[in-house]
Amino acid sequence: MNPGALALQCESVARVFGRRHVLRDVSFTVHAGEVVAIVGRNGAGKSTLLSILAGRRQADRGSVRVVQGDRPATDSQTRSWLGFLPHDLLVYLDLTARENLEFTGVLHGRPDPVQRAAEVLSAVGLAADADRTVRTFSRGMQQRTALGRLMASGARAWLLDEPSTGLDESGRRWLLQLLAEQGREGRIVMFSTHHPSEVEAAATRVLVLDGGRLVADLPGGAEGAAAAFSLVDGGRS
Amino acid sequence: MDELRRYLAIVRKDLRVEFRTREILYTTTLFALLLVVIFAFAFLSDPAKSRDYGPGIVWVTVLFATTVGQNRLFDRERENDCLWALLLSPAAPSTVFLAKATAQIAFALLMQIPTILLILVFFDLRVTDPLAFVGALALGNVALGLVGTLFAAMLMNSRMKEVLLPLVTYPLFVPVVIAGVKVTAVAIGAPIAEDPEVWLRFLAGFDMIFAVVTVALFGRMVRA
Repeated sequence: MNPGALALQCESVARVFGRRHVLRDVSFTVHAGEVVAIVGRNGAGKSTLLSILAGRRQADRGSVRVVQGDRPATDSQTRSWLGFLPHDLLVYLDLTARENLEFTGVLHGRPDPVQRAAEVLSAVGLAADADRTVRTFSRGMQQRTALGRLMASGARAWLLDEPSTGLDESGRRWLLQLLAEQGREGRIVMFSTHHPSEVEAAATRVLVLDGGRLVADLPGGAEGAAAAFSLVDGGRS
Repeated sequence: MDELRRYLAIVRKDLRVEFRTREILYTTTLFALLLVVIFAFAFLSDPAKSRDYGPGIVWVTVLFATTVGQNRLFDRERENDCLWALLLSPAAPSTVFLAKATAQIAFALLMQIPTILLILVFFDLRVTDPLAFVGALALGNVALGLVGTLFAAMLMNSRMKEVLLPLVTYPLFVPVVIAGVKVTAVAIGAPIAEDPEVWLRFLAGFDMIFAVVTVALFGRMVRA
């Protein structure tokens, strides 16, 4: 293993909302370069798991650790290395797309946030609309801005909750290519999805959640996607 | 150095959004001016006593209008859950807090310039000690800004935040208002035997204590 490579370790994580067990004893480790799809029915615990991994919520039991080689990351490193894209997009609606990305770059201590924002705006296809406030954007464009925020942050691990929401078909293809590319560049990518085609196109590994439990940890690709969704559909019947 | 850049970026972001939308400045300034007009109708029947109740009017107006602004301060962070974009970034929670408090104090001071000028004109007040007058307002606003920003962040997602914020903060603001009224009274030449320096020192001490307490508590309280 590369001694500088990042890993995300989730150990016996449990979370209860009221009397409902949303996550039960979930454990896995994700290594740099892996693109991991999290699948499961609505309410299976996908969003909660991602928000706990990102630090947005606390686990009631268990722990989440970011490690580089065998050394645990400090709090500041963890916040710097993890990038989170939840349903609420974490972008300011009254700032322009460019201002959002430049702001993110400064927050994350990027050396040249202005230059980086311009590059990212081109990459996410928003160069022509860069100086419009995000409030005037369609949902798909807002989603692209939020993805741009992850790119501008320089995060080494991306945690995305249903990232294709609001994107059209070409946008979805672009997103899946982007996620696969991030994995090839050595980033950790974890995303939740309800679409087998997304798992097939981008994921190198699939985690299946059912009733808050991790019920399967499968390889990606067409076979893994088919096996994972047969488990999801089996849980539904 | 990075923290300073982050602090400035957050302040600049808040000012930019405010100057674009003008939600906080317009609403708080109009509210403050309305309060002054109401006070004018209530008290102008006896102009000879304006120096007696003038300081109270200044501070009640400052307090009420500032609270209205504080209630709106985190609305933009709540939209799209943006506060978490700050809290999950490498920026220290203390940096986030101080930047938000700075923006809040800047909005409050901008609102107070026309408001206080109007009070001075309406009630025919003359500032005889401008240094003490400005000093009390500056130190008082820092105190209101620090405490108000902390609780506004805490109550950001509460449905009753408009009611809860004053309920929680006003008991803490009482010493600030008392000190502010005393210094302002001396500054406009009211016939009272108070040493403004003592009250200004009191306000500075209040600011220092609450700066330490609020900075220390912010991260924990917003994550709770």
